[in-house]
This record gives sequence, structure tokens and C-alpha cells, in this order.
Amino acid sequence: MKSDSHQIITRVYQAKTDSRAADALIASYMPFIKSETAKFLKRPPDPSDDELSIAMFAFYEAIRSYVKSRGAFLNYAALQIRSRLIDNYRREARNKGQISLDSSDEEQADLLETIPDGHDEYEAHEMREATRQEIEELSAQMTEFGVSMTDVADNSPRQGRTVESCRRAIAYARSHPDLLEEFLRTKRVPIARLAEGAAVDRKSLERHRRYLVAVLLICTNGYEILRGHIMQVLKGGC
Amino acid sequence: MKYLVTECHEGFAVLMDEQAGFVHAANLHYQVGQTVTNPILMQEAEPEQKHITVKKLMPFMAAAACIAVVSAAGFRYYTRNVKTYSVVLMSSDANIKMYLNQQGEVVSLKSDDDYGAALIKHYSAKHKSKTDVANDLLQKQIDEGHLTSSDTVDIYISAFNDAEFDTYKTEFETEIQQVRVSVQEMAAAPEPPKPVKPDPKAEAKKDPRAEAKKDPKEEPKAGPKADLNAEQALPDPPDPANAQAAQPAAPKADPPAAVKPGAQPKNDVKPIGPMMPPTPPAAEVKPAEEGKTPVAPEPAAPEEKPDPEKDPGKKPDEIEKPDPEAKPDDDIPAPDNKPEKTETPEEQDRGNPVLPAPESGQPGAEIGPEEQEPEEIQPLPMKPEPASGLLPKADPLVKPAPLEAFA
Repeated sequence: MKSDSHQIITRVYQAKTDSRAADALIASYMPFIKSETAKFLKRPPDPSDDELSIAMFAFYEAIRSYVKSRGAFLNYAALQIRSRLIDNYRREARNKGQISLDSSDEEQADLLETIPDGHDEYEAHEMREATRQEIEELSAQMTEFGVSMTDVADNSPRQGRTVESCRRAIAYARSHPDLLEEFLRTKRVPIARLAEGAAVDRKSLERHRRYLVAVLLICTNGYEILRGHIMQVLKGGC
Repeated sequence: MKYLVTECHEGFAVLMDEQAGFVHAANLHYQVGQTVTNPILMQEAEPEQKHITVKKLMPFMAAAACIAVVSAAGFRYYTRNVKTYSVVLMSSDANIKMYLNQQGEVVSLKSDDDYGAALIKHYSAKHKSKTDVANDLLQKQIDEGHLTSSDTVDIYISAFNDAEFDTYKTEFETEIQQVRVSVQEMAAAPEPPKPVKPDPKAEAKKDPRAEAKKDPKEEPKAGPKADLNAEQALPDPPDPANAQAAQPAAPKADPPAAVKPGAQPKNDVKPIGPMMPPTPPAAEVKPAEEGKTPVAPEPAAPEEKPDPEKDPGKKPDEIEKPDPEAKPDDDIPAPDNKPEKTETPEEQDRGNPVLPAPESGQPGAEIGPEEQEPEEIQPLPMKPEPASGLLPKADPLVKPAPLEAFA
């Protein structure tokens, strides 16, 4: 029993930094996640239920935030899953008075079908496919820099002052194409030149180096859809 | 805000918002490239709080307790064994001080004299009983012949309290058998003679000036002459207080014309006109009229002043003091104090030659013998100065006052 708890703690600590290990741990403890969801739903969860996805996400959050002093991991994870499901239930309850487009009226016809559709499903699919290709290409290029999307998400700036520093650095890099060329050629972020040119703290940029890699790659040629998504930032300086 | 799904995992997805921020979110059956709104974002993990528990503090508490125990033990040892509580002075040929701790053991020995220092030089008294140390040192002195059994050794004790003093006294009196002892309190101990420093005040008392000042009745008319002699004997400037004390007696005894150069005029003497030179004595002017070489008057006139003691019948006030009722505007000259000789105005003019004004600020600018040469005396048609009547006429004993005295 003690060795089992020691083993799971080891895996949890490994999954904190490794997304694949986290996926493996989640897959291993899927029955546990389902049981906790079932306790909340008072029924076996369906794979298409959002509650099950939210429970899996809560399990991942438990992995990220667990420390040994908080006791047994499974108890902690169960508490996290329950809390998340309750939060989701309350959020859904706030939208309870609204009518869903998927709901049917008395004549057994979906409301969605009654609304004139100006949305081209084919075009949307094409757009999504193009975006997916760009993202896959970006992920592949980021791999050359030793950075994954999860790393970028972990390394993304949160505080406004840091976000502003990174934006100024990105704007300076966009205004100096030679910097981007050097970045692509050397596969190293020119932190010193960015800090000096943008007049920002060098340490702030160093702490968010992986985030800068992703955004600088997006700023280079070939990622028009992604650049269009973050156009606000690009307009603001990037 | 729209989010772009950039990566999908088993339990979560990575989304990119429009601010170029990457976030973790619940993977609600998302696909890469999909744009979603209102996702379930990951809550920011709270920074791990460092809980200070008793278990973590235990080592520090134990260390602090150990330090406290060691400190307390050390302090107790110091106060009982090292700190000096009482002092015993053993006074014989050698004065030896024994510093005792709380338990009455000797902490250290000290002696001010050479013999005592030699006695304790190679003697280790640390943590020995005071009576043992006293016996040892006395025995040493007996062996060296400095003491005999019939001698009495004074022992002075500076104890922490009376009870301790009584205890020590009893111990010394009973346990020292070699010589007789006389135990007293340290307050009764004679202090060693200290080298006497020369007292400047005591020397000043020996000063003749101070003696003259001290007993003014013996020399009531000690004037500037006496002061001058004293100053010649002692070139050092006198104290301001002494000078102030000595000055009031001088002017009363001496005539005003005999005031030393540079001395302040007295308040009771009316000042003569500032540009009026003093009248030279007639005896000095006469040889010039006869064509002989004039004899320069002695500048050290104060030494030739009439000694009031030698001529007690003639008061100096009668000589020097002008008539207070005489006014400068009076045409009639004031009667002279000395009625031996009466001069006409012409004679007065001869006797009062107009001399060149001495250069200011120079001591030698006083009226000198060269300035009084008869060839240079040219009587001017001047009206007799009414103020001249105020001056004493041609007294050879009176020294002409310098101009600085009236400046």
C-alpha cells in the first residue's frame, strides 16, 4: 500500500512537467475519474458528456497542483474533481433560463433549423483545416527549438507588466526583420538585443523565452491565420 | 474572447487567445484549429505556502535551548569562580592585593611595589584558599627575613557585605599563626603616596606680586613702580584677574604725570586738550637758551618719581590733581600747585614750544630729547592757552605724559 502511494506520487511529480506522462496517468486513472463523475451525476458518465471531460481536466489540475503535504493524491484529486463539477453545474445553472438552440419545440423541430443559416459549413471546415495545418507546422517548427505548446502555455506571461514587456519585445523584433532572420537562423532568441532595443528588463524576457519562441515564429512568414488571430496584439505593436 | 485550439490532450487542451496568450483548458471534445468561446480555463495554481510547523522548528528550538543552557552554565561558573567579589590587601613590607571570588578563593594577585611583585611573580594562587595564600606569602617573607613572628601584618578586607567581612576576619585571625594580624576594613587602608604635581596656584602664591596683593596693608602705596619691579622680575604677563586687582591701588598712589606709557588716564583727572603737548620742565629749557647742548630728559621718569614714602609730607594728590573748579574757559590761569615759580605768558610760550606731532602708533613718538632742542623752538604768536593753567608747572620730577595717554 505504501509502495503504491509512493509510486503514484512519483508519477504525479513526473506528470507535472511532462504532458505525455500526464496523459498516461490520466488514462491509467480513467476508471477513478469516471467513478467520481458518476458519484456526482448519480449515473454512469457517457464518453460524450462534458462532465467527464471536466472531470479529466480536474484530474490534470490536481496533478499540476499536488504537493506531498496535501495528503494522498487520489483523495486530493477526488476533491478537485468534485469541486470542478460543482463549479460547472453552477455555471450551467446561471444559463438555465436561456433556450438552447438544440432544444425542440412542440412540433418536434429543432430551433437551429428554423434560423436562417448564413454560415458556410464547408468554408468553416476548410478554414479549420488550414488552421490545423498551420498549427501543426508551428508545432513542428517549435519542436526544432525544443519547445512544445504545453511548455508555451506554462511559460506564457500572466501579469500585465510582463505581458507588456513581451509585447514590446515582439514589436521591436517585427520592426527589425534582421532580428527574426537571425532568430530563425541561429534558433536562439536574441534576448540581449530585444531587451536593449525594446528597453525592457532582460530577465523578464529570459523567464518567458519559450513563449517568445512561439510568438516570434508566428510573426515570421507562413502563419497568416495565426497572425490574424492575434492581430490585436500585432496591431498594438507586434 | 475567442480561443484557438492549438493542442489537444487526453485531459486538457492548449488554447491561444487573441492576446497571444497560451492557456490550458478543459478539452471539451475540441479539435486542433477549432475556435472556441467560453472555455473552462485552468485555475492558476496557488503558490505553495510555506507552513512553519513545530516539526520544522524543533531543531532550531533544540539548538536555542542548548545555547541557553550553556550560556547559563557559563554565567554561573563566571560569577562563582572568575568574577571578583571581594579584595584583601595584605600590608607588610609588601602590599599584596588578593582578588577573591564568591567562594573565597583567590582569583588573582596584584602588588604595586617591587618587593610584592617579586613575591607573587612565580607564585600561582589561582583557586587557592585566601588563608593558604596569605600563609604562603607571609612564610616567604619570613624566610627572606622581611618579617618576624613578632611583627604585625595589617590585612584590609573589602567584602561584599558585613557578614562576609566578619567571616573573612575570623578566618584570617584564626588561620594565620606565623605573625600577628590586624584585620580592618579596606576603607581604613592607607592610600599609597602619589607623586605630587607642581601646583601652579601654589607657585603663584609664592609670587611677590601675589604676596603684595595678598597683604595690601603692609604696602598700601605699592604703585606702578612696585608693579614694574615685579614685572621685571617676572616677565610673564600677570593674570587678568591679578592685574585688575592690582591696578586700582596704583593710580591713587602715583601722580597722573607718572602714569606709565600706554596706561589709561584716571577718571578723576580731567583730560587736557588732545593736541596740547605737555609742558617741558623749565630746568631743561634753560640750557637751550644759553646755547649749550641740551641734556635729554630721562625717559624713565617713573623711576625718578618722588617716592611718597620718602616724602610723606607731600601728598601726590596735591601735586598732580588739577583744580577741579578750574574751567578751561577761564582767562585767569589756575594757580599752580607748586608756588615756587610763576611764569609770564611769554615764558609759558617759551616753555611750551610747538612740537611736531609725533607719529601715531609709534612708541618712540613720545617727546624725545631731539625734539626739544632749543634751535627748533620757535615761539609763535599764540595766545596763552587757558588750559595750560590746568597743568602743573615745570615740575622736574613729573614726567611728561605721552600723547597716547590722551588719545
